Amino acid sequence: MSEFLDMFKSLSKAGLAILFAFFVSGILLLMVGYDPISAYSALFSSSVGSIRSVSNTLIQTSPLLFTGIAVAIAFKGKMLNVGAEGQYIAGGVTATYLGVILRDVNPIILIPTILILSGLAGALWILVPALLKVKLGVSEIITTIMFNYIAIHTMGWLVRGPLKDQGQTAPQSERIVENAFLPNLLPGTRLHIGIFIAVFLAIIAFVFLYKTYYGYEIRSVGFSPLASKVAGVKVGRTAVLTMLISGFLAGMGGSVELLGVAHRLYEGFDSGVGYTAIAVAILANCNPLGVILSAWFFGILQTGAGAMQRLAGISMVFVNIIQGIVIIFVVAANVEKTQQDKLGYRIKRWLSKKDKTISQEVD
Amino acid sequence: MKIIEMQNICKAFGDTKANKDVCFDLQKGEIHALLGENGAGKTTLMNILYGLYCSDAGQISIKGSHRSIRSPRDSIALGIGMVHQHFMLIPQLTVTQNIFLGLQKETGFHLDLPKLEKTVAEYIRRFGFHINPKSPVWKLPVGLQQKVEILKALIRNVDILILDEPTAVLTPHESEELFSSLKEMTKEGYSIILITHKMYEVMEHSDRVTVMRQGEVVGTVQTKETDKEQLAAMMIGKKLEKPDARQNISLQDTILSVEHLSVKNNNKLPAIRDLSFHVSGGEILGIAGVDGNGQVELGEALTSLRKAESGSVIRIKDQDLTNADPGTLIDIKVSNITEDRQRKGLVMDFTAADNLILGSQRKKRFSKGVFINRPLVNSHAQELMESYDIRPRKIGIPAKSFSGGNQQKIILAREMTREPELIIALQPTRGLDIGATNFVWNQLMLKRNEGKAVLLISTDLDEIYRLSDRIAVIYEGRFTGIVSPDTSAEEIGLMMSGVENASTSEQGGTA
Repeated sequence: MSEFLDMFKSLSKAGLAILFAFFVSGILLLMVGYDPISAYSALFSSSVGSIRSVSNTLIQTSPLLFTGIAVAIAFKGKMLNVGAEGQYIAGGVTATYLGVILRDVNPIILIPTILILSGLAGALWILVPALLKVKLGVSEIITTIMFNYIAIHTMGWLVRGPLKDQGQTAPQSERIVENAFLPNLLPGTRLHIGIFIAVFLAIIAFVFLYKTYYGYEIRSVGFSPLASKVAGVKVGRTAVLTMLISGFLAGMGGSVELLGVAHRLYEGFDSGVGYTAIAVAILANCNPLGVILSAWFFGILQTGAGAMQRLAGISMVFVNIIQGIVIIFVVAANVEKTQQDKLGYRIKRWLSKKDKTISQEVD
Repeated sequence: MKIIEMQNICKAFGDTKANKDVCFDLQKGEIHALLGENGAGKTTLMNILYGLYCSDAGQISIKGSHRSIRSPRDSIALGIGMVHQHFMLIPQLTVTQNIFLGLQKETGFHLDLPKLEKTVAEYIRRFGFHINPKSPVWKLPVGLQQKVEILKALIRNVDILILDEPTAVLTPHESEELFSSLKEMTKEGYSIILITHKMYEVMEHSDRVTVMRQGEVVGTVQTKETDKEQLAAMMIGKKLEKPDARQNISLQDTILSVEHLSVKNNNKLPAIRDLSFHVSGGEILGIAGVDGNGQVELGEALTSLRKAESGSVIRIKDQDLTNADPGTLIDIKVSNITEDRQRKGLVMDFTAADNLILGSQRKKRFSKGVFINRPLVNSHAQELMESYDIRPRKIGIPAKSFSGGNQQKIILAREMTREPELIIALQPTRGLDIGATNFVWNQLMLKRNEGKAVLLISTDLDEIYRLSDRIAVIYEGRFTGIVSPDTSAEEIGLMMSGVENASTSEQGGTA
């Protein structure tokens, strides 16, 4: 039961962090002369205010959910995969290629095949950083970031060269066949079944992490590689497994986005999803079930950002400030208890000093 | 004259009350021992005095006036210094640099090292320490590093010193030196609080002793007017149990045999040199020696955590396990009680229940397919916590929330339920209180009496004497002899300092 108690705790922490973040952001808006109430109402009405906006939010949520779980699992095993972006692209590229060349295949076979192969492409994209980490101790933070750049620029070359749609001047790929389109959930919207796949995988990931011995070993290695090694856990193998699972999920996320929304590859297809995923995972305390809510929250922000700009005249970029403040509050809430105690005392002490000076002034 | 008076101090961490209405005072010029089992609240009380924690209730008077101490800066200003169990030194910096770290006000922007070194040298002379102020700290043995910590406090002009378990990492000789320095200091008017759970230190070196148990003060007595038995009774609230009796059983087959083992340390220097020995079922082989003579490397090589050099052979139950996978050792029922329980023995963020199956998570007992059988794991944990008296009895809280003694009991419970044929125990009672120590000793003796093999590697000679059927003495990675436990402590002491014992061969002193 302890994991549910933990989940409740981190849920309430995350909730408070979000509230505080909106409060502080509101003050920022006031300071520069905007009305926070109208800003927030624009943000929420356009993201959760109607069926159409809810579906738009869910479309935004789905890639964040895939990459969010990917990062969360990796972080639980203390593998700091900052390369979800690259793995997401690897998945997207694979889905494009397969979606273009595999004509006349039944969707029931075609879609799962593409999803799985794209996942494997994502896993392949993290394989080198994983091996470098385990065999030579090279920091996976550095290598996964570097692989992001490789992925981004390879994609740029692909949409100008081998995958380019010759009928178009813009650098983009051909459209994938309609058989490969993910089925639509809600007629009249672009909402596709990707969100269901993502939620399903989040639940699977949770069960895997907390109920199986593989998950036990991943978390054990994450907390203490040395104690795990002493206890006979194969630390290197577990680390590679963790990274491959993470890469697989991010890669599949890329293909779901491609088959569900984009339908063709273009530069900027990744749009920073892999980096936002880190914030998504941290807000959820790296719990896959929490990631569902956390990805949804980030989906709301990203969907609402446009409306906020249109209706309240506040730049879309402001959403990034809200995101940043949320993360600061979450991280602050997770600081060790003793540190919090100390900070508490300092604040108390400072306040009591202030009280004194004020009362002296009154005297 | 009372220079410190603490009255009705209370401090709670969540549900646990670490200090309950604690009263404590310190006289000028005395060594006052604060004695108690692990988790009795000694360190909490002193951390409150030093300003690391803030008490929930109670008053502190220093030198006659009420004070509120909110940070170590306050307590240092009041003349209180604390030397922690774990040193807070920067190994790459010199003694002087370490001492003046954080004293920018005194040193100014420009660091005039020669001048500072002179100041340090004066202090060193005054207290009879033998330290070179220019030496980098990493080059110093642990005993001297501790003195650097003490100097750090002294140079801040404190006259009250709190020492938290100062001898935990020292050799007997270094401990003696430390205490003679402390005695000198009291003559100069320093007052010292000594947190400890070692009885003989209290009896030998303190003037008064305050005993704590479960967050409360049991009593304060003059050391001269008390004895070990009374103090022990105060500490654990009941009479000390004698370790289980050694039964006469016949030796079984050889379980562990080591031939020509050579191992290197972290600096790639030889730590174990061509060592050969064996351990049979039904005996405890104790390896005595001063810390740092290859004990850790030996333990790690035997449990496959460190590579054995070529030519080495480690055989357990006739299976060659030289450089095997640590997992195989668990499969063939070798239990490993490491010297570093927090880093090697436990996953500190895992719950007690999860720690109690660490290493067995894939075993049929605890799994259904790839799933962990949670109800079974929990009931297993409940049982073990009951039978090993692990407190608090909460299977769902992380290992780091348990006291040191209870952490060791978690390890012990886990390792013993593997039904080991061979137990490799390194420093199994380091840092444990009497109750927990007795418990560990009984468990090891029990396994021996059942005909299992036990290899005990310890720097605590008392422990070696009590448990061993044969005693090997290790010095710079070699045995200076294997002798019977009838050998006198003087003789073993000589062997510990490198003198070969002529009367023994490798097989030496039969049990």
